[in-house]
Amino acid sequence: MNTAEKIATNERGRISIRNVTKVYDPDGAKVLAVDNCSMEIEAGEFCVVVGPSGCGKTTLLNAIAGFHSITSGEIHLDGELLCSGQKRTQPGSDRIVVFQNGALFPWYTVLENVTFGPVVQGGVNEKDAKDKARAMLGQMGLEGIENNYPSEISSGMRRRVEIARAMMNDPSVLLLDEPFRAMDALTKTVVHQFLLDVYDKSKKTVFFITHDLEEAIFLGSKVYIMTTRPAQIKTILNVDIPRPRDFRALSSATYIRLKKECIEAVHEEALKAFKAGEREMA
Amino acid sequence: MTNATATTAATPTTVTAPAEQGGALSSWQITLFSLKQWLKSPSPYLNVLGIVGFIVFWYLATERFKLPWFNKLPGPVAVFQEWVSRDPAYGISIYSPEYYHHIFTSIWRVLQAFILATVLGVPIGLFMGWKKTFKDYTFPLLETLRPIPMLAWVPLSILMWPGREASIIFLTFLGSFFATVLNTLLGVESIDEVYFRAASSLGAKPRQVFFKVILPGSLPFIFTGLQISMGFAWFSLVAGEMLAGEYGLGYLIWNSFIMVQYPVIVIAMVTLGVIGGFSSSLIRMVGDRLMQWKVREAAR
Amino acid sequence: MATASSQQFNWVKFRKSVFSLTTGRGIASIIIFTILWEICSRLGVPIIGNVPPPSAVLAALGKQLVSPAYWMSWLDSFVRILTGFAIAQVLGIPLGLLLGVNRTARELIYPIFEIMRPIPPLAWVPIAVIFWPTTELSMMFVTFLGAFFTVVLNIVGGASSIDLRYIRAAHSLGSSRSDIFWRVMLPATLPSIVVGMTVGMGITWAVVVAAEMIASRSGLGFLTWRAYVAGEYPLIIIGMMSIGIAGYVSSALIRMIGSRLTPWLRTF
Repeated sequence: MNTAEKIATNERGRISIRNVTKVYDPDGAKVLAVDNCSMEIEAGEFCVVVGPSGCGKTTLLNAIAGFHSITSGEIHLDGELLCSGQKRTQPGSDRIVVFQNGALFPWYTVLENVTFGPVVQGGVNEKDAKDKARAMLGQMGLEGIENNYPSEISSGMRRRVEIARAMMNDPSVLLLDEPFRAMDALTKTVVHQFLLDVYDKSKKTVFFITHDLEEAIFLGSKVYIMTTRPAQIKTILNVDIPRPRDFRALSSATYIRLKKECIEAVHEEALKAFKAGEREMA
Repeated sequence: MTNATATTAATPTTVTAPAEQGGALSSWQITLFSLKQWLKSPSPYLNVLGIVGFIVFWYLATERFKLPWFNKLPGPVAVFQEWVSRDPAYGISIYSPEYYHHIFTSIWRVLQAFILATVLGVPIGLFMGWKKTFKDYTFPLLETLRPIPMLAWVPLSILMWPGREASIIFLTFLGSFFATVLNTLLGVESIDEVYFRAASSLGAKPRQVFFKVILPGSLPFIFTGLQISMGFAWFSLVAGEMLAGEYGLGYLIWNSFIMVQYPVIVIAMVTLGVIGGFSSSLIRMVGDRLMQWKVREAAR
Repeated sequence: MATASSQQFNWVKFRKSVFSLTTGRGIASIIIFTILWEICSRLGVPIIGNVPPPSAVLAALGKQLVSPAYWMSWLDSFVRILTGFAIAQVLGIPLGLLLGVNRTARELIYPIFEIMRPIPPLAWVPIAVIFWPTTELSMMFVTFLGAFFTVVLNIVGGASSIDLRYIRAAHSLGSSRSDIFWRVMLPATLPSIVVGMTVGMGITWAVVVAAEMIASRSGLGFLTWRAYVAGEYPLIIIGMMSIGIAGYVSSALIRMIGSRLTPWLRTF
């Protein structure tokens, strides 16, 4: 981590994952999804987890988000116990998830979606929330679509609105579960830049899951490469490309070197996964 | 609809309606546009031709050539003459108050039963989808009663309720109720898990999940259910009125059959069809009003 | 649910589903319902009290089960259902496909269906009785109508919503027009044919029962109606239960045939 980043770091959003294990038990067939996995994520770190499909990385995210329990181990957020083998956490607005296929409520307009968090949490009146949302959408270059329904805007736009919806709640951690998966290359570059801008401005802790190596290196400060199920950390890469980054970073020497290292590490795992006859599931 | 292409150069919008270039376009402009397109195509003329052909065949078979079997049926001319006659031979025409009495009796029965079924059925269905324990207790009961066609309830409902009116309304209610509950439940279960997760991640409490996710999310299915349930309501109403009615269109059909006033049967049938079709399009309209996000999706 | 899987039978799954809380609660609720019904009936609670209690129904059931007249009612109803339903399929499936495939035919004929559809099938009973020379034929006709509309409308919906990509793929693979019909359109429409059959079967039973009550001298519907007229109230419940079971069995049969016809939709 370089010095510039360290200074901008705020104090919220330190995640520590200690010896987490998760065993799925559907119909008596025990499946080990995550095996004794440990990670220390600094506050304000852009952490990317890469691994082959179905390797258990989403399980880890779901445990932090509070959608699933874990079998053993502990996860702490800012020194507080979030969940352990005995305790399951409830989902909350301090750890907001941006989902794989998007989860903007189709029955609400963009503005209603973005204000959803503040409105349901209470404490703000709706007008203030709307003003704040408009201002935020404006800053993010998303003005003019407030009264459209999600089905009326493009997929790249939808994804950005969803990130805006998450940021409205000022979360400690932003959890992104392969958010740009089914996107064409052009749209992807736009949303990548958008996410980088959001990150540079807010310095939130980001926990980003993907199976796309280039995306991982381009976006992340630290890249955790996972093994095939059961998921364990195989390698950790420190990405020392300076921020703010833009598309030029993609042709820098550091990027290319890191990508090479990464490909070698992941390819081995991908082959293993393929040979084990894993079906695409994530 | 505002044009939102300014910030995404990467995603060009498809140009379908003319107003897309002009910026704002209101819903009636869309309607007008599609109406013009429709009139340019052969469809409306074929549609009319089909219906006219059917009536001509009916006329030829019954009144002109008097084919065997068909000759006993009332023909379109006889029916029409009776319908618009100021002095109808069998007492039912658009000028006779009797006719409207039958119509309003039927509508009023359906309305009471339908409202009751909706007011009870939608919350029960939503609740079943929301609380698994509640579903565990109620669903098997529903599934046990459901295979019994609502019309098999006719004798029992006459036996149960004092007076014809109550038993006919109960019967009509039953038909609607099951359809409403099941479709609402289906609607809740069709909501993608991800929306529940998103809502709870954004800090929504269970009550808010109910009103902001479950209710709007299941609305499309609820309205499909209401349309089906309206169909069932008319279906069972006719049976109830035929067997136990005094007044009402079903009763009119059966009574005219017994009194050998055949043209009236057809008048009543057509009236039933028109009102039935009208009531289900009314529900569709209300549904479109409530589900703007679906309408706009379809308009694109 | 007949999922004729060749896979190993999963005992753990089976045991879990049979001895689950859900099953227990379901059984409990049905038992509680029956007990409540018995109590209400005995105490003469208004409205529900007019329904004969389950004990009386059970007592009357024994006599019916050995009576040939009771089983004749089953047979009569089933014959009507089968003929009406079968004719509806034989006529409805080709017509539905034609309307789905051919735009001109659809625009010519479909509006007539749209107009006829809101008329409840039972409203046809008098016209059917006038038209057909025997009551039996008119019963079958009304039964046929009930299923016919559903079948046709479902198939048209299914055929006109086929994904254009399949047809294009078939074209580019070198299919002729008839290939496209038999190998693409027909299988792609099969699921909606099956749905139409399932829904149609439900409507058919409702129609037959009511038609039998209104205008016939035999069948399960008549049995139930006669029980009411003759004051043998427990028999009403037996009639209703028989109709329910018969309807359920026929729907299950249709579903079974349906899943045989569309193996690609099976979920394990």
